[in-house]
Amino acid sequence: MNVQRPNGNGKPNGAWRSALKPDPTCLDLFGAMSLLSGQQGEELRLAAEQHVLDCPWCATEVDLLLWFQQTHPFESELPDLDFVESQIRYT
Amino acid sequence: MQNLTDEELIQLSRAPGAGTGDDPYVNELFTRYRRRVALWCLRFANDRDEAADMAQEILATAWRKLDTFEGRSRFSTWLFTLCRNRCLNAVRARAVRNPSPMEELPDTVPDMKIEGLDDALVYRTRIEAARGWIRDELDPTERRVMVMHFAEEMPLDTITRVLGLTNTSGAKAYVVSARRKLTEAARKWKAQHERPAS
Repeated sequence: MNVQRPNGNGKPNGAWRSALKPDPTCLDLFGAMSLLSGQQGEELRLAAEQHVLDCPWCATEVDLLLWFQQTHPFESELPDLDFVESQIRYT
Repeated sequence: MQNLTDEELIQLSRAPGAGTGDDPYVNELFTRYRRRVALWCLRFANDRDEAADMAQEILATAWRKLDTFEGRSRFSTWLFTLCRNRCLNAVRARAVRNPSPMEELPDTVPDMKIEGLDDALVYRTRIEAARGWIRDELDPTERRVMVMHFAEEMPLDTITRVLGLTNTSGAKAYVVSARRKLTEAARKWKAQHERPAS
């Protein structure tokens, strides 16, 4: 989330581009997920939820994390997926 | 072992007496995620050989760095950041070798000049207005596509695959509809605020 800073000032459509990027109030994903889980208290959880609602970048980061945790392959992807999985050696 | 959480598996692998070699807890942990990592890489790469290389590199890195996992997040969040960063780097490197055209953003956000505010604050106000329209006017898929294309600079065909979009023109259709909605929202705002006082 805290990867890039708004840099569109002065460019055509810079405000749109900046609105889509993280700003200084964004937390990194670890920090955001910790707040969203409620581990830091209810008040901070609500503030983080509101931030994710308002910030397109953070909302997308959280969406992609959920995608990673939950998405299933399409039937058509299975042969390639089996191949990729078969190639993995950890060390 | 299957009933244990990811974090419990990591704790057990670190317990005194746990071997550093072929650790059954770590094996179980990585078995849970290898297919997810493979799918993520496949969608980013759209080429099974490149995807296999990426997945191998990500999981080997995770295996090597597992000692540095501090438990500040779930293991899946930690692994996700490794995948995300590795795959985005690959997409950017590919874009340098083989640039693809970017779509256009909506029309410029209206100039929200406010008496007494300096230019930096006026610009901040325009960004906040733009965020409000993105939040209120776009559906979740349009928002994701806009961020991934214009902020992450991901090519549209990659976004189409990563999000699993099955409509005919994929992510491009979402950029077109988002641009139309945002342009309209800005136009309405401008019309309202430029209406001559009666």
